[in-house]
Amino acid sequence: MKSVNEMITATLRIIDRVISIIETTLLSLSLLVMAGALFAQILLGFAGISLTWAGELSLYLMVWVMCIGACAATRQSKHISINIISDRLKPGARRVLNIAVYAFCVATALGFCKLGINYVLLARGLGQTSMSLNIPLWVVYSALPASAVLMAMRFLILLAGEFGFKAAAQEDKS
Amino acid sequence: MISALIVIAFVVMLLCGVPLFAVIGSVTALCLAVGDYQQTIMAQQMFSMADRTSLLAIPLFIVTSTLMAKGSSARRLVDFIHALVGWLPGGLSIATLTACLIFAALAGLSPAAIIAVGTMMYPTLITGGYDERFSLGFVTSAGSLGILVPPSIVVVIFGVVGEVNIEALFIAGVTPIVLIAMMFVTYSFIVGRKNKVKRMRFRPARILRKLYSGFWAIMLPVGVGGGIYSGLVTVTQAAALGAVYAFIIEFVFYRSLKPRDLPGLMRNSGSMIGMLLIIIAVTFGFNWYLTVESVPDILTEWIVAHFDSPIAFLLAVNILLLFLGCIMDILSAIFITVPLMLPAAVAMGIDPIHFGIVFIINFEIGYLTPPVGINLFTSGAVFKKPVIEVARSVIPFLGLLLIALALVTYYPPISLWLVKLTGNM
Repeated sequence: MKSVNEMITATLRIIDRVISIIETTLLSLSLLVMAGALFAQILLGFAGISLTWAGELSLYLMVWVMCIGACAATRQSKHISINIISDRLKPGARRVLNIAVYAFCVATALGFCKLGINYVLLARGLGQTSMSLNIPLWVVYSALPASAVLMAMRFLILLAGEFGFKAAAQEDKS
Repeated sequence: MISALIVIAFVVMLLCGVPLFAVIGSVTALCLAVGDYQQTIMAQQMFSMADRTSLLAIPLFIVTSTLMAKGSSARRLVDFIHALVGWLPGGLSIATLTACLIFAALAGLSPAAIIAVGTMMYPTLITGGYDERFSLGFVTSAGSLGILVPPSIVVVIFGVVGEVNIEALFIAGVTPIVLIAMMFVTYSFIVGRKNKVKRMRFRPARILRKLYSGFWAIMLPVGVGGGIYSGLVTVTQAAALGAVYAFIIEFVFYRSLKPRDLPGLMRNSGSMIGMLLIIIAVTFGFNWYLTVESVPDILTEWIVAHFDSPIAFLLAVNILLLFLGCIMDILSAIFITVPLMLPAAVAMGIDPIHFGIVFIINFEIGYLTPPVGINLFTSGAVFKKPVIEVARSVIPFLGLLLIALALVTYYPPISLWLVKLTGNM
């Protein structure tokens, strides 16, 4: 019979794995297509053929990479922050500070999510589409709410880690 | 009153270690709420990055450098440089410096250079006869220079945030980099004489062998740098070509990376890209608010009224930046201060390109000063030395950098002559 703590940790670990797989897949596809599209655009540009859609596509992919990548960076604690105070705290005080910071980050991520949803609804209502590919712009913008939800979960996992639920394996910390 | 509270909240959150993007994002949301603006403006400004082609250089350069560093190109490049210049007087230090420059530029942030090049060159410097303290200081400082060399993302980000021509910034950085490199090499030459460093023999066969084994890797920095400096391609185009080229040489020619490594590499690059771009995106929102509330104008007016010459202003900026460089890294500083300081600098008659170079050199120094000089800590960790010993070892190099900073700050032509010559101004 498993203890409740072990079950929570196991659940968090599964969530962590699923989010990681989503992130890695989307990041790999977006970056490869981005580089490929721009490469094609430059080569064909020398031949006098202009691929305007390639530039547009890579910019939209960049928006997605930004959102998903920011979420992935949370797992690896890569986000830029100033640590001159927390580095000098004793472990107990640092833990309290970390809990406050992570809780604040969960709230911020949810705020980004709400902002994103509102903006997606706005763009959908206006029916805006892109210039050369005719993609509805809300599809591009939905990167923000989608990844903000995942990011809130990531910060929750970090928060749970401070309470002893070590879910995120640190294997890809570099 | 409210604005004072907002500033305090900003500083407190920053010092508590809240990630920078969350600090700027939440403060912007707060400002918009207080100013009775619509919150969707924030999203609109964040997505305005989809209109800025020059930003594409950031993801592409990061992909290129990840591929090169994890593959074998990096090592081949360093081996070739070592063989090529190692036999010159002071050759070992020239080789180390060049390798550090290329690596720091590729990684954009210099700790990567210390890890990659330092571990290869530090033992070589010691066996070459340089004393331990000099070698440690040299490897630690040399890495910080690369942030001015293409494809440094620091320069790209300064250009994007400050709306300054990125190609011109890279060209303006050439002379200061050569100047600083010459100072470092001269100093190492003097130390080498004192330590009676032996010179390597000149062996043309070895150079040719390393050229052959590293040819494709060597062509990457040559092509990217050459393309940008000659004006043949834009920075974004150079970045796209470089990324695809790096894929081809690492996966097809050298086969140092295998297809199954790809997801991990893309994940690593992607999280680095996301971490940077999300800050840029929220900064756009924050800058929108600052601009409509004419904060930069008010600040500029105050500065123009209180400083009687551009030189006095630059001196104050130098002191402020050296101080900021001691408590935060260069990217945070760019996001926070450039939108406020650049308009004032321009109003004082300072060229934005010149300002950019001064700004970046200040932070090269900031990498080496306690308490947050990242290079000191990285170097301490990599070479297993106490940070205080590393800090002592970089003192002569800090002195040289300060002299260079003074020259570049008060004699603008050092950065601007080449930009004028190439017609980028």
